[in-house]
Amino acid sequence: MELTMGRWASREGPLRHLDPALIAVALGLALFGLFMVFSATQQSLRTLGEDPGFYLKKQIAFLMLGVVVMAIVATFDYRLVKVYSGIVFGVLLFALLLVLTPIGDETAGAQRWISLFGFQFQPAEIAKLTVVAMLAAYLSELREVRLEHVWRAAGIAAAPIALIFLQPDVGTMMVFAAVLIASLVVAGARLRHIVILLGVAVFGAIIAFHLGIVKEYQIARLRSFLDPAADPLVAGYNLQQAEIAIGSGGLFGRGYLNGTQTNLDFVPEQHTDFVFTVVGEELGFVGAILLLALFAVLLWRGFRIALLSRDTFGTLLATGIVTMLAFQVVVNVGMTMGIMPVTGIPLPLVSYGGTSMLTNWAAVGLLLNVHMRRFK
Amino acid sequence: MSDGRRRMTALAAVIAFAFAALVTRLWFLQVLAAEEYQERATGNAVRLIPDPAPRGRILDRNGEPVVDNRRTIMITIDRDELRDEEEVLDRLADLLDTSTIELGEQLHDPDYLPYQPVPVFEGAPEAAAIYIAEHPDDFPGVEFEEVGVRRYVRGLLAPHLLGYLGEISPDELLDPSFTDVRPGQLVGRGGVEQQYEQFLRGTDGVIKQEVNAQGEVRGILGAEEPVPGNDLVLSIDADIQELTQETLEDAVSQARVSVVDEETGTYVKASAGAVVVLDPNDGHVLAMASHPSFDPRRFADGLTQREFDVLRRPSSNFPLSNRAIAGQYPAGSTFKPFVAAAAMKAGYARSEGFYPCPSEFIVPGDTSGTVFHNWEDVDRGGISFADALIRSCDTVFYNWGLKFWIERGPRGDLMQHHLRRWGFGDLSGIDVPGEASGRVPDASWKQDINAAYPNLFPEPTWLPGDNINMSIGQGDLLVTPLQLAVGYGALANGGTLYRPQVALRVQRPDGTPVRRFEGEQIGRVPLRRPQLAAIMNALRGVVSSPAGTATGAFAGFPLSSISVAGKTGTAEVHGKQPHSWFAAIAPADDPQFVVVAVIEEGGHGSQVAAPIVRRVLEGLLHLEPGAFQISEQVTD
Repeated sequence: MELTMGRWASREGPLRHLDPALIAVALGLALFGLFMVFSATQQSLRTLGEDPGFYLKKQIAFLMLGVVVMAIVATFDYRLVKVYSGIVFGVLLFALLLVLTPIGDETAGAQRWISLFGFQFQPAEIAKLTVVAMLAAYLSELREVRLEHVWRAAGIAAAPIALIFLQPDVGTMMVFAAVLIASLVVAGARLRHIVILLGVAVFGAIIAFHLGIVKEYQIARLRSFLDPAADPLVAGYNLQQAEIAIGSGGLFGRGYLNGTQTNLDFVPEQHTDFVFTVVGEELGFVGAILLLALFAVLLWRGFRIALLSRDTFGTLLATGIVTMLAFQVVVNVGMTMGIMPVTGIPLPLVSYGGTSMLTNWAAVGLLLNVHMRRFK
Repeated sequence: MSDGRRRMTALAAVIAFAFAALVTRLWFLQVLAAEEYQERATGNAVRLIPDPAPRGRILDRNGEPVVDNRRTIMITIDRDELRDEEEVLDRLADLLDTSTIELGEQLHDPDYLPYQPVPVFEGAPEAAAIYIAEHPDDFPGVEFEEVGVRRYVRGLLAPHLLGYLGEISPDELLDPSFTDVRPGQLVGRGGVEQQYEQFLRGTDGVIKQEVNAQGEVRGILGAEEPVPGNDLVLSIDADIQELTQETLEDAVSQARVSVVDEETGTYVKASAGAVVVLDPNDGHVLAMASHPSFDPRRFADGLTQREFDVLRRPSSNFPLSNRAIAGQYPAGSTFKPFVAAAAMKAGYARSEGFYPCPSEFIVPGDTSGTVFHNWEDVDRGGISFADALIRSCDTVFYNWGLKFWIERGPRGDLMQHHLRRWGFGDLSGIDVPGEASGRVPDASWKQDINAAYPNLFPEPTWLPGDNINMSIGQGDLLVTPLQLAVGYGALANGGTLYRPQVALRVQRPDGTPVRRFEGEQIGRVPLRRPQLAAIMNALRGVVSSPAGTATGAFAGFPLSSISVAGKTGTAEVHGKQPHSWFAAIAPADDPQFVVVAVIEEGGHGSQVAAPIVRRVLEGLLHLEPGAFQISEQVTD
């Protein structure tokens, strides 16, 4: 036991090389999120005669569970991920299939949930991290990335993309696409090959639209993003209310728990996908910049870890995670402000939601893992 | 820098660029456009509920309320909360004793915004409201509130003068003077309710509610108190008005069963009538009645379209029309004092002159055989100026009318010019909407009407006969009872025309005066006082001398202590029974009142109109008026 501890705590041992800044900023974001989730839900819960802390308490539980998950993920050597990612990937593909069967739960025209032992979770959230690991594992084995490798890497991402497309969840699909491109770039794929891949993807998307595979509500959301004033009563309503919430916050916000847009339910899905509107309305420009700054620090630590990694797998793993987080932040915050299409992407570590919280903490755990073991 | 590092830097740059885009957008929303979004957030969350101001009361000259407000129960329906519309409306119709269709029509009035509760029924019994409150599941979205509606304290008193309230029309909503009025609100229609709308209408208060996205009220943010409308004090004396209306009603119903029309041998129709009582010294109206009439309380309870249509149907004889100001009739002999005045002014008549009064009159040199008759078939020989009026001798006036034609001047309207100085042919400007201007026809009018309707008016030229007819208030001359009253007022007060007015003052609910309406002179007649006195003197004889045309109607009236000047009129209209007219000034020595009455197709002026005026004067002079009585005297 002492020997083990000794090895862990030795000069170049993992425990000596935790990244406290990474942990602090991740915790900071999650705590920020707790306040926002409470603000987004307390008034409605109170009106319904429910416990105003209902969502807050659940989110705190998710957060604590998330920290445990981070600790576990950081404990074993990340290279084991490379070994087992294939198996996890297989299990997840199966879970994504299950979502599409009657076992999956349907909300708002999309099947995203699966219930297991009385818990609901979204396999797509876990799939994001799994695909990151799979791509890193595959690409890190290549000495040179040729076109055939690009196709193969795309093939790895394509399986879950196809299954998620059937749910459908365009937002998550785009996360996979972003991760794929970023991983290929960092792995050294030729720009020409990536352009070819993008061309094929765009062509495929056009075909998908024309064949009517894309669901009505997705087209409507996309249209409302392109022209929010066109249909203010239905699709554009969320967006307009979100913009009003953020805009009315002004420089310093209307004060915590004082936002009328928030308290009076004008912004739907506010504790999950639209949580950034609470920040904007109640804490203003200053609060929103603070939140974005925290994310910037998180991403900076991620990049630093990617650079410090002792092997290509670690670099690609960290790059994929950073891309996954960055893409979600940009699309989520962008959609609340009307500069990105409205897709069901949560704000990492901040939005209410168990699966997303656990996945993101696992991602932080992996970053930490790479950082801790950069010398061996 | 290795290739891998460079590629990672590129990736970081893309992310940094995306973050910069987010910050830029954030800056735009929260710093540059914040104000606009703050306004929109407020618009979202704050609902303004109007708190209606009570409308000002209408009082009579003694401060007695004629119109005030009462609380009534209004049933409203919130369309958002209404379920099973048909069943609920059926239940509601049953409860309120109305029809499902009518409720449905009210409910779907497009003037109401979706979140506004729509008023569907006014004047619900309290028991119905309690039943609704106790059975909320049977009446989803149905609510009730107490609202103020007009109460007519004196019942049927002066509805034409008061007017009523009606929902504001879409056109009026665009009018700048109605900017603070919302759709569905009531505004004055007709009468002083319309004329003094700006004073009577208060300023509505506002209750600021905080509402959520579902439109549910979460709290009250504040309130502005409503400012009640100002009270309007009328020059009307409610008791005299009541006496006037009652007398008019009695006269009409008695005439129909006791006055025989000479032409047809049947009882007169006495289909309609009007009475005006003015103070000749400032033009204020003391009473004004029009028959047939309507019940303003029906409007207060919400008149249905069908009820409104009935009121406007010709067979109802236009009860909404205020004949005292809008009824246009030939004046008949009540016009003679003004023709006499014109003849004096033109030098044809003198107060001490004598004039032949034959039974018929032929225009010298006219070979067409046209004969103008006096109303009585007797040659009275030469009679005095006063007797011409007292006996109402038509032939004397024919002669003056012809003289006016002969000396008609280059514009051809010498006679008309003199008559218009008395206000005829023009609006008097009374502060009650709907006044008619009457008509003093002349050569150009005749030419125009011939051009427009050559079949009805085949003669384009103004002939001597036109002047002759006009000299006895006939032909194409039209006057309103009000115009006649204004003219007699000028005779009474020494020659001043006052704008008739029914408003005395506007005051705050606590009685503080806001505005006074003093008598306003609108003209002076070009006669000297002795000339006017001669006419007044003659008009006394109409009532008091044995030869007077109205002595019968004034039999038993204490003329020795209170002198009365008056003039009868029996105005003939082709194809109709004659209209019965009487105009009077009392006391003649110190004129306080002018009373004019007309009964459409009511027979001779002496028979019906003169007794009406007599009875109203008895009321005005505190003589304890007895029952109305038709006079037996049949004179012009």
